[in-house]
Amino acid sequence: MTGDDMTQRDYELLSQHLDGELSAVDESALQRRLTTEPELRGTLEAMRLANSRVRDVVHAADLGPVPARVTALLQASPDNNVVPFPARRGRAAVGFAIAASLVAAAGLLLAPQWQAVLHDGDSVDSLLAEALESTASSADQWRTLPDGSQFRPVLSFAATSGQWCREYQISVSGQPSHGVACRGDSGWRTEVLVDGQIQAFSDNQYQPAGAGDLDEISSFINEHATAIPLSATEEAKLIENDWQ
Amino acid sequence: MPSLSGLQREALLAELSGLRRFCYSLTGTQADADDLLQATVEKVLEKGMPDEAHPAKWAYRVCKNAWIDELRSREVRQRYPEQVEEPDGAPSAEWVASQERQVSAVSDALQGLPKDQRLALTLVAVEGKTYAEAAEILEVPVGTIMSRIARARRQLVDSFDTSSEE
Repeated sequence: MTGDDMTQRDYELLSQHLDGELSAVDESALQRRLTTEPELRGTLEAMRLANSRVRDVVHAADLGPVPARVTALLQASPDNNVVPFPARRGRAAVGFAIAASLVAAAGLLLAPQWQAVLHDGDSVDSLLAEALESTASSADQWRTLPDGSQFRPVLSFAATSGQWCREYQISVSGQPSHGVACRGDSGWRTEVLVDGQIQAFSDNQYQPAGAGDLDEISSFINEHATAIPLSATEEAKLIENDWQ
Repeated sequence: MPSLSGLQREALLAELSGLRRFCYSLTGTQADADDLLQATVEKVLEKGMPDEAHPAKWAYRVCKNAWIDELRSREVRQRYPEQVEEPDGAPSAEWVASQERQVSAVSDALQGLPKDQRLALTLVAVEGKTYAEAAEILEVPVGTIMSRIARARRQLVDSFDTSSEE
């Protein structure tokens, strides 16, 4: 149906004609050629048929309604952006069963001068501050701090205060805690801290903010986060630039 | 920080059906199309959208990038699909079977196009975008869109000619 004499420019002209993208002058010239060149005419019909076949197949596909899970993403409150995303990044694979106590530790300063204490006067605060400063969030990778504590940043986000904040988990001498620290001019300050027992989920399911036993942490994030958590790339850049 | 306004969300909701069809054109299966659609919406929500951006064009662009990312990340996914297996014996004379084969042939031919050509052709021929709109979405010159679509149609015509001779 299509001959060897057809050039790429001929195909482009015919294609532009089908899409209504030819100028009036070019359209007129093409029409004149079509009346005298049967091969060009045949190719146009073949292209028209191919075009309609493709369109018909796609439009005839019985896709049904858009999945509710997708529309739900957009129907959610703009202030609720924190919920849907960590699942795809596989973060936060550990939950907490809170041991009925919210540790009165909010406001502890984890500054480089290391004056504040977090756990019975040991130096975990300084180590924690340093770890918060330099450790990327991870779904399941725990970092062992120099004192033997286990530490895992969960996610990072921008707070309404203009500070960068990080949700984290730490286990000191077998005592797990779960907190959120924000970075101010003086260093990292723990804003909320919850004692609890670490429970590994059976899979990489994200424990969304506001669910289950993470109420205190979730409430803080929901109240203070300006948007969704940072992506791994965004967070890596911040760490590289000392959170500036 | 990224966050969509109510108007941007509404605009995207209105565009979801077309965007999903675009996803289907790219992936060739409903399941993959829905995954791509979800990934697209998540990326838009995650990265936000400039106030001055056209929501639909922005979403199509994000979708295109998400699809290319997916192709790159899935080495198992073949750029060119396997040949459709013909049934044993002579081709069926039944009309339904014939139609099914035709649909399959068209779908395979579409999936067999180089991804740049398939993106351009789908946006224009299926979604009804102008060359200028497709160029904006794919971030290439209008002339490139025109050339890619022509090449795509040429390959489709050749493909259909070949399949009809078999």
